[in-house]
Amino acid sequence: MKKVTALLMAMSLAVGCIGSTCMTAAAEEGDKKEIYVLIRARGDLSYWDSMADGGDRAGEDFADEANVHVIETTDDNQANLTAMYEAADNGADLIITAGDFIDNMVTVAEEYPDISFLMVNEKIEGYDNIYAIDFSTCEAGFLAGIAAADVASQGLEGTSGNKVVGFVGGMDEVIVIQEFFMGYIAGAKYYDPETQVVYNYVGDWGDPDTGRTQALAQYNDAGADVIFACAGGSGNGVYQAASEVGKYVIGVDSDQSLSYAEQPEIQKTFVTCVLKLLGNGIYDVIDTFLSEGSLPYGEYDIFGLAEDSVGIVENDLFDSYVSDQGKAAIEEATQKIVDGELEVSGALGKDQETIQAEIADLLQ
Amino acid sequence: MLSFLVSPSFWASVLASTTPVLLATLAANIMTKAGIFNLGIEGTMLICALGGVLASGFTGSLFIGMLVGVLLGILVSFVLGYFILVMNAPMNSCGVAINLAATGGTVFILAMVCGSKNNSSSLVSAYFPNVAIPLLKDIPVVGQILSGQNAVTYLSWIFVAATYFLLYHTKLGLNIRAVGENEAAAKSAGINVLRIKFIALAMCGLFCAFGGMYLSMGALHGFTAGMVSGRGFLSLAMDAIAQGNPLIGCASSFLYGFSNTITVYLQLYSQLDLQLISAFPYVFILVVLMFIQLGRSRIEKKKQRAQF
Repeated sequence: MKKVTALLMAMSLAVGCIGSTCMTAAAEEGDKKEIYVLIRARGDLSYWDSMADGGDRAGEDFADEANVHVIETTDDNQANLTAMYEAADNGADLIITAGDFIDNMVTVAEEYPDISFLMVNEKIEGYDNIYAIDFSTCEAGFLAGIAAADVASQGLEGTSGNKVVGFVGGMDEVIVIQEFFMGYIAGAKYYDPETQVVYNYVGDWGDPDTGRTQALAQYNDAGADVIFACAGGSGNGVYQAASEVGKYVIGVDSDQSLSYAEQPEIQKTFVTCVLKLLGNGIYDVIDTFLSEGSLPYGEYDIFGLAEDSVGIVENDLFDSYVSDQGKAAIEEATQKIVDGELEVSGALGKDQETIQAEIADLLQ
Repeated sequence: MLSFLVSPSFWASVLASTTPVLLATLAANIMTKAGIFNLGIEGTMLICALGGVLASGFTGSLFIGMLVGVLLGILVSFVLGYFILVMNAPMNSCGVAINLAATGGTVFILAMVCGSKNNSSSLVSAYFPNVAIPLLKDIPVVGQILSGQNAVTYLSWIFVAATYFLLYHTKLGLNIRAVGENEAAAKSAGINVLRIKFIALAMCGLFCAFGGMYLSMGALHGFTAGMVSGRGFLSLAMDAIAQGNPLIGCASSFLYGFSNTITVYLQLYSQLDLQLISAFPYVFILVVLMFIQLGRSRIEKKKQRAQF
């Protein structure tokens, strides 16, 4: 036991020394702010890539004022914590990370009261140095719901005219997914109250075969014409099923149709994609931080259509599939949401019981 | 509420979702018979799923893709075999090692080759076609269910029959079973134990390869990270029911396919609580396992009584 304690003390001493030398190095660089964006990993073409992109863009645009470091920490919580301590010891001014790593952020934020922290995608209030932002993807889901209801009702090739739209979610009782789902149902019903919504949850983010089975069930048996796939890797199975039966899908997080450029039979099933532009949100916060020197600590803000942080893809496929009436409805709804006339009820900040009750209500 | 049970597309989905588990179970069956506990089936399937996609994507040939997938499957199984049989390493940890290497390694290679850590959509790969069986396809309902399945699905049924025949009606099968039952006795009877075990491992690799390739080159037309998604582990449970018998393994895989698909439809057509529905396949399998075990112990008792 003594030996272990001694070893630990020696290690902490060593880490302390390294930390202090780095700190002086950073200080010598002048007034430049050090900003750290800690992400899980690049290359997922959605969530983390969007976040990394926000950091990269801010780093380029504000190169004179700040050094932005985007660091991949893998999904290992411990590795993330180490990286966060390292960033803090290296003289960071602002540390940004997302939902998965909230516990790490709280731990580090309490130990380093002088450093600013930004939490993305998780509600956290009342800390003197943590500012939290979230994204009301229900607003974008609402627009996607309108597009889906439109495609399912206007007799497009391959559709049945049943006015049924589908949804495949990754996991049940995940607020991020329910946020999309609630907007989607509300949007479909807003466009045409007769539209029916059917849904499945895969129960896994990386099981495309089950995703495909569920999509086929919705297309073949439940009569759905469009499915909103909100299921990470499992969504690939939904796209595959759509190309098999000649029906339509809505993608999520980024313009998925771009990644199927080589496979036109799958690419042409995309009506649109719901975008969650984390990067834009992070970019804006970094901008505020650099110009004002501080952030609204202790608060929790929700970014939406008005802040250009969520949206849907409007490419050539969207143009050819969605009718003029549908496009007009989407434009009108966008305007109303931005102006605050129309409020889309989402799942953020609510408890599961309320959310389930609201979803059941919407589905009626 | 249960009207979907008469829908042909329901039963077609049952057969489709049975296929990968069936092939994995077959791999587990042959391993059990040869006296090896292969935890690495999951990882082997994942490696073959990616290998097949990449090879067929770069050559444009389904055959080469299949060949590379199968060879990879056999290679990975042989690596496992080398460590546990030649180097005498513990079986379980070697299996786990293969799974870990496969989970990380496939994403690494995928990101290097396709530029995405999620899927291989940037690469157009070949895939096994769906086969419409003449005559059968014209029969209503039955034709819709049995015809038009993926080629690998039919292949898996042939594999089941062939494995059963091999195990119970050939000399090689007898040797495999003998090695699995009692290695020392088999050795004393002049059987080359190591050779027999490696033959079993090769077969395991072959089945894993087709199980993996069914996912990435059959049901789906591309690789998705982690797409085997526990089917390899599930096969070990199916094999526990079958205790190495390919026919019972086939039946239990079908049971899994059925309960997995019914979950999908119950979510759509019933008002049951989602948690309850998600638990259904496992509860169902547990209940069946219980009955099988009851039956088994009754037979055992009868045998014991007959001995006196």
